[in-house]
Amino acid sequence: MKTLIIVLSCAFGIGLPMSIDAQDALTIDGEVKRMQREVVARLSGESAIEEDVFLQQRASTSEREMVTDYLTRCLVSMGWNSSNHNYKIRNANLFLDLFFNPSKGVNISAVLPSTIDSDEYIIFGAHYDSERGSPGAIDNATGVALCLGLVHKLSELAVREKNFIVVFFDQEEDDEVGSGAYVQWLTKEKINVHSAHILDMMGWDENRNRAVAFQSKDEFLIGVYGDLADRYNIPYQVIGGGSSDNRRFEAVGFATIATFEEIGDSTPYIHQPGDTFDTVDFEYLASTTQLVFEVFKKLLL
Amino acid sequence: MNESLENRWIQHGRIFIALTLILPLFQGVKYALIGWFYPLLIITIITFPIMYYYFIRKVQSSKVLKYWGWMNLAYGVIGIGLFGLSELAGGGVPSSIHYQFTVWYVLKIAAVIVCGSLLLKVRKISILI
Repeated sequence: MKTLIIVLSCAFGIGLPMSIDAQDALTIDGEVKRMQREVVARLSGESAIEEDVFLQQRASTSEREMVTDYLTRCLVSMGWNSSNHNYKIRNANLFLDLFFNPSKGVNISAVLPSTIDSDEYIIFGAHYDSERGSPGAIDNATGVALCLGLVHKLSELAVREKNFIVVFFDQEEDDEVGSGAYVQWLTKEKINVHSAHILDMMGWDENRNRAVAFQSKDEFLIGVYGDLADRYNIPYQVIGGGSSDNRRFEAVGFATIATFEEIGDSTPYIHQPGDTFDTVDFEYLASTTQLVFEVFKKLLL
Repeated sequence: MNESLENRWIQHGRIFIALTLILPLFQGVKYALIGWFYPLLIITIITFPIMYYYFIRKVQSSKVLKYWGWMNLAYGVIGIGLFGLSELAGGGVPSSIHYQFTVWYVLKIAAVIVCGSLLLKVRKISILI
């Protein structure tokens, strides 16, 4: 079929074969794809996260604790140094503080040191909590799976001139409480952040064009992502504002970019019980994983 | 006025008032420990009259008891209101708040309401002392 498309395209002088080939270059190895499927399955209740425990959502403290244990094990098994960030933080307003306990959570984090002496950190992450009543397969088990794909591929790089930190943020659905606490910690510890890369929802691609949306104010990062998207013939949109954990990073002035599904071709099941494993397009997840990996390789140069 | 309640209040009133202060002060301390001092400041201001009269000047005051009783009742009623609102709002309530509506929360609010009612009942004894 592909040969037929190429022949027809050549005959009619259109660029489609080139775009398919370019996108096909964003392939990812089978091991990573299998791992991503397993991660999404476990986080969204398609398979058990612990013995006989199938998550319906990732919103309560006990559910989030199970996810913390699971993802920490994943990161350690891939050779990254676990550095989970526990936090307690006040509520959204003072009135609530008089009645309720502080928000408590864990940002699951791990570090991959550079192979050359460096104090610069590239941070990438995705939130792991879900809205109540939603299995959160696309929002945002796919973001977590994407990050774990990157964790796997970055570990294989022989030379890394910068350190990497992966963070799975807690409580994004509660006004980005987790990333807010994490950014406070980064600032307090004076971590030299090169850039922050947020991945949120990466599993719906109904029109099969593999398009993505970038949300950033940073011209340099938009340029790097845009160049690579162009090279692999991935359509992309650049949008303003901050609609995920990237908002917290931008607020303190870190160079930040968030990657989402294409605007207009995004899951219709967001925050709903229908956001299940079956709706995830794993090929799309894989191609975006490879795109972000290519970005990281370029940032290391 | 029930005579046994009157006797018990005369003997243990100050302990009872101290117990009613534990919950709000503990709430303030929880936030102070994470570096957020406004709740403790507000709670200190609210509880200052009762602390001043009963633990510094060590005198009885029915007005202060009435004030503290109504404050407790108001806290309880607002607590119930918040629970009601969260039920009405459903998914709009942050999970960090939603999952705090537990049996402990109900017991806490019930205890505050009971304490508030008792304080309003015994304030008349203070007039007699």
